[in-house]
Amino acid sequence: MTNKFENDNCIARKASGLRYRGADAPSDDRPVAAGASDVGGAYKSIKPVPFNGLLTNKLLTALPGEDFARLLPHLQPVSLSRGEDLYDFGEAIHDVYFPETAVVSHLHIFADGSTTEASMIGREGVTGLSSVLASAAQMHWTQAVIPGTALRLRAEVLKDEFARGGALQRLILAYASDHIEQLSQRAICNGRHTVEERLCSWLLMIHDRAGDDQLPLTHEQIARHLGTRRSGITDTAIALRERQIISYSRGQICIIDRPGLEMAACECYRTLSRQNLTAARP
Amino acid sequence: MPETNQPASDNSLLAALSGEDCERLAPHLEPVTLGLSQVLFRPEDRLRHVHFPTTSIVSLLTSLEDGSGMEVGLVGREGMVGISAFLGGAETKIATVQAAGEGFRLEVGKLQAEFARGGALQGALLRYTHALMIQVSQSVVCNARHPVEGRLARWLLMYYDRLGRDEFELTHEFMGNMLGVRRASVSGVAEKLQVMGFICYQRGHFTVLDRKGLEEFACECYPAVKEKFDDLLL
Repeated sequence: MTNKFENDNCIARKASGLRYRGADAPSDDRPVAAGASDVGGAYKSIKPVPFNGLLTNKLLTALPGEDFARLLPHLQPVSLSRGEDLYDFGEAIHDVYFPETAVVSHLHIFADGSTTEASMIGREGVTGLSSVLASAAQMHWTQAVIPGTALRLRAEVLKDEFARGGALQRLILAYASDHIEQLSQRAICNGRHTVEERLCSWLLMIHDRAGDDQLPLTHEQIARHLGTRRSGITDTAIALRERQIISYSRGQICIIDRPGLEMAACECYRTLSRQNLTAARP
Repeated sequence: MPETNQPASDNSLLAALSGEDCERLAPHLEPVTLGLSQVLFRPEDRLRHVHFPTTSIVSLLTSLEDGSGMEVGLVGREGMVGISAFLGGAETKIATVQAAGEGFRLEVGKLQAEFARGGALQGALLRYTHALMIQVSQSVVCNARHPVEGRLARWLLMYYDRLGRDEFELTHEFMGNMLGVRRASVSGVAEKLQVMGFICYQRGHFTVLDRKGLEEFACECYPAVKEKFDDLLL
């Protein structure tokens, strides 16, 4: 089994994160204006970037102009690097992220330190839902699985907008429903389907969200997300490469035959893409 | 519908309502008896009522195209069945009564009106949605990793907690769904727990004999979810 603590120089921080911190952790009062340079202690490595002017996050693009205008001054474009931590398990949520090209993963950490992904979030959604739904801390180790851009917003701003009961509330609730759907389908998928089927469905889900054929993923990393042995991922990847569905080298997987990948995937991908992601593909 | 004397506060979400909220909702809460295997909704159904279990338990099943299902969540007195009523959209799961008992039902329109007020019930329902996400998340990672015996122990403990009693019935068909195994292999799994002395099992009738032993044997997913649920809902 893979171990999330491998090559991790902040084990102590992770371990302290295993304590559930509850709902009322104080929020900081950092400035929210776009371009603010102080991004707070835990997130120093998350870099603000100039906005490229193209908005692709589905929750934000679906907002009516007036509602979006209220959020706009608070949205800060950031760049998430590969493996960037957004929240530790049990960490209070100060900011939420609307992914654009980045894909974010919720990882469950087992008692032995190994991990399995519960769900992923791309441009169809937003991270940190627990802050809006329950004023609760983050329940998963949350990490950027595919690097890219996102828009950051202070959780308090999102909560205030949600409390207005307008378009944003409806969109967030619909997204919560889609997210539960993703979880439910992945629960049955993990119980029933082979590693190859699961790997193919997972790659398709990532592909839809990242919108790029080149995916910076190692076998090790995929095993950590699917909760399988690395050797199983390698064997499956070799088989898919022989069938010319994917190619890979040095931490890059390239999807060369998407219809082939869809054929090899289980029905779970189709079920989920029907629900929420078809419109997200560029 | 039979009249019962159960208080609405036996359901945790309804218990979160105080004074005024309670008075507004109480006339619309209809006591219901839910029978074993009764289906409350199927995928694509537009709901007419939501249900607040008190002594009953409802299982949420996701199914594959071949019709086989798997339990992804359980709703007892801590929750509400039919969250699509306020999240929007149609239901995608099958909700089946797995422990007969009492509960309340409320017309969807009434629930939506109360939700839109943004008061205590909205707060409780959003917290519950979050808790349900935690429960289903754990099923995702549990199904990927844990052996079937540990998963059965986990589900049995979840039943025990919600029913507040150590004896209950589970059909073979349902246990197959619960564990994602064929109906024929269900007895074998239950017998293993019986040999270890944790339960007595006979034709779908379970008696928990050694709760502590069962807890120790269950996969780590049981305490992981229970702790978070208790924090959020109790």
